[in-house]
Amino acid sequence: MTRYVAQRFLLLAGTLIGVLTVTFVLTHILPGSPVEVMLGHRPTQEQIAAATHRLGLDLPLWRQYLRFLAEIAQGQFGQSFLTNQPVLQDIGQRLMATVELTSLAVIAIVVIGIPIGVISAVKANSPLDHVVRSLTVAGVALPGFMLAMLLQMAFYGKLGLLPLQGRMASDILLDHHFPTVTGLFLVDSLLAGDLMAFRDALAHILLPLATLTLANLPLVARTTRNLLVEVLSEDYVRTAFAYGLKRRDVYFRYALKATLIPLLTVVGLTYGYLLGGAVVAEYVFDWPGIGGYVVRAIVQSDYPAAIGVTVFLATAYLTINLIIDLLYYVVDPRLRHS
Amino acid sequence: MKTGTRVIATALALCGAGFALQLLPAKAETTLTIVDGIDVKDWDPAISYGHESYVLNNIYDPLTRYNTKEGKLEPALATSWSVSEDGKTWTFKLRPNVKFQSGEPMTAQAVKAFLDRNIKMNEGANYLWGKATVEAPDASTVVLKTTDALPLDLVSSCSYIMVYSPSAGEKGTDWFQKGNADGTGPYKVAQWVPNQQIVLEKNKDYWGGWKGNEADRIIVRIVSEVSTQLQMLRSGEADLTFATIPFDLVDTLRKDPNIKVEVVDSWQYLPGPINVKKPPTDNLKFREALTHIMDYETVSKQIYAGLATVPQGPTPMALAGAMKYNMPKFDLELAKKQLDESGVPKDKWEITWVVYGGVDVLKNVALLFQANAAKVGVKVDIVQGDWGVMWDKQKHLETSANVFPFRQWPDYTTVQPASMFETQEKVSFNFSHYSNPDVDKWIDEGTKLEASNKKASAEAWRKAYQKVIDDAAAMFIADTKRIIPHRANLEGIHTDPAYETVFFHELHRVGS
Repeated sequence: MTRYVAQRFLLLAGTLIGVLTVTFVLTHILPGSPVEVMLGHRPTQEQIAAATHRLGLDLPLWRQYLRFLAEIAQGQFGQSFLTNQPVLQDIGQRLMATVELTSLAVIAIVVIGIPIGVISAVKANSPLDHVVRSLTVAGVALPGFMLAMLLQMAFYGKLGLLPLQGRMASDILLDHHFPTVTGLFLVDSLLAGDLMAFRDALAHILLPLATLTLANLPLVARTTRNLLVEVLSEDYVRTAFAYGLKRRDVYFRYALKATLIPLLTVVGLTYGYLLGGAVVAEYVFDWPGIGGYVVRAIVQSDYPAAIGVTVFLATAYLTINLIIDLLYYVVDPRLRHS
Repeated sequence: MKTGTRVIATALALCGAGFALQLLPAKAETTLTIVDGIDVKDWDPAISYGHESYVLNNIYDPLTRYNTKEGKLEPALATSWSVSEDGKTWTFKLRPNVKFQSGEPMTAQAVKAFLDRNIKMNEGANYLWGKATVEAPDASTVVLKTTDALPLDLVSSCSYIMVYSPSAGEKGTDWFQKGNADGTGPYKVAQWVPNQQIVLEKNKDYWGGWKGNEADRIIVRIVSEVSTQLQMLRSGEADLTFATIPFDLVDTLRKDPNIKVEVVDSWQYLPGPINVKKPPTDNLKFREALTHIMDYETVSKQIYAGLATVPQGPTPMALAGAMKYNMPKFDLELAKKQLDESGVPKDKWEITWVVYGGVDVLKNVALLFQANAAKVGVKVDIVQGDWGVMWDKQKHLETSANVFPFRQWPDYTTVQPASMFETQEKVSFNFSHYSNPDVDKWIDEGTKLEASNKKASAEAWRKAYQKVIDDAAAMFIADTKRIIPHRANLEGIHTDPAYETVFFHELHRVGS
């Protein structure tokens, strides 16, 4: 097991270097220079030349690459051309906003999606199953931005129940200072005992959370349903019913367990996808996360930001997959004993 | 309880939680909320050269301020100024008893420190100082000396030239970049939450004074999506939006009785430089024909939804010193005749046209031109890309396009043609790749006289522009206006085309 974990960490490091190299090459060979974007609306040639030299962009590509690797090794990701702030600082501020949103989304997806999938499997081919399957298809088919805007129009525009955008209300941001411990507003406000800030943070996260959950829940629900339908037709399940076990125990203790391996894979992949793929929800709700940051960075050739975020997202994605692989051992006794 | 029932009950409970979580923080009567799509990038006034001037122009003051309506410079931090006969020595007398927001006095030494730092760093718009040397012979006098005659009175009024305290300058860019500021303006920074909001508080010691009905606090909320901005405006959560609203939404907004849309003059215009070195636009007659294919009226009335005017000259009429010229008109018959006379073979009647940044207006202008050009047999290939990419390509002849319209505005009150039409060894904004020794001579002459003899300067530039128009080195497509949607109960919207901002210290709500 230790050897397996060590091998996986080595693989992670190797993959990261590959990702770094590909990202560096792609951002540097595309046409256009980021200097023109970062210097304001009409920089002089002298200013452009000075900035190009300061950033090392006039060096040969191979020297830029070596300089880049040396800086990354020292934890120096440079300054964003678009925000003019250290990339690590930008990522730090934004990453936890995305982690908060996507983590809650994954929890919601699992907590809601799996039971829906179970119900649908148990009542396979019934009217209820058809309704659930239709709704899940609709959830996947509806574009994320449209879903987000519809939720805004309904819950803010028509009903006035929830806030429109942002992570916190202006007044709360200004007047309720709580220490940043985790970067997760819900956790940090509770740790500080600031219930008003907690309620406000919760109110602000509900609509983007609903958007991500509704858009991604269908995948987990349908996967659960399809896997469980197969398992429910197995002999041992029929035997368990024959022994008189309660239906709930059969479904959740025996049958569902058999689906956990592929389900964990789907959940892990969903989490990894959401970390970078929450950009639409982040844009519409002005959620200050990593998705919008990296899209702007790529489109406007903000190399340091694009590379910095890529490194973090790649690390996060690979780490999540590693954790999922390790969870297989926890979940499946056959792997532990092999 | 069956599983299905539990699920439904849980869903209902969550909805109930939503009701309980509704938070409507009470808005203080003297807090205004302004929405903008872009956060401040450069907090350091020595570097700032972009959209952040919207906010920073309310924290800092310039030495002089331009009043476009009156057509003259007005005192700001300087109360009077004079220039030597040769235009190379400027003397500014400073306003007494002004303090920075930190409490430091605004003296000649403070202004010298700010100018020395800005000129040394040479970033942003500070190239305008021409590497001047600065002296402070006494506490209220600043003397600037340049090697060439420069209109430093006008330069001092530039929206990107903002006076800050010496102690702020000493702390440097890193200090500023944390969202710190120390100016003499009516508002000071209370909070900056990156990508969320900037909160400004009244500077009680502001030298301009207060009437009593102004906002104590201004919250600038960063909101990327236009639809979200408009929802905030409609609901009253926002009082005003700085963000760029699509022109075709203006009429819809106007139908809302709670919203007003101010349409104000701007210095922004849309020139379309035509590449004089790239075939087939290296042919004069061909270029002239292109200037007659552009339907200027349709651009202003429909594409800009009436929020632009047909140019009467190569610079916007809202700009002081702008003159009227005999500009090309939309005339497809004339264009066809000129194309035939050009001698360019018909199979070479093909040009490239740049649209950058996914800007809808620019795309629609290109499509309109493409449609009209097709009627006279000219094929237009629209090339799209990010501003940085397209600008970089246009600088090099081998990758440049034939026509590159771009939104343009001057850094200060000047109609100087240098940036677009002066010969440039390394192209910066001369997207036409135009080079004419007479035009260079007139531009140079006008520039040298700008400080001391505005009339002679204007005449020299007029000749330069006339030659540019005669050579069809550009088409001048539209003079644009600014739109500022705001709540109907918000008054005091003070703008000036010289400053792409709204001055906060006159904003106030009336009624409920």
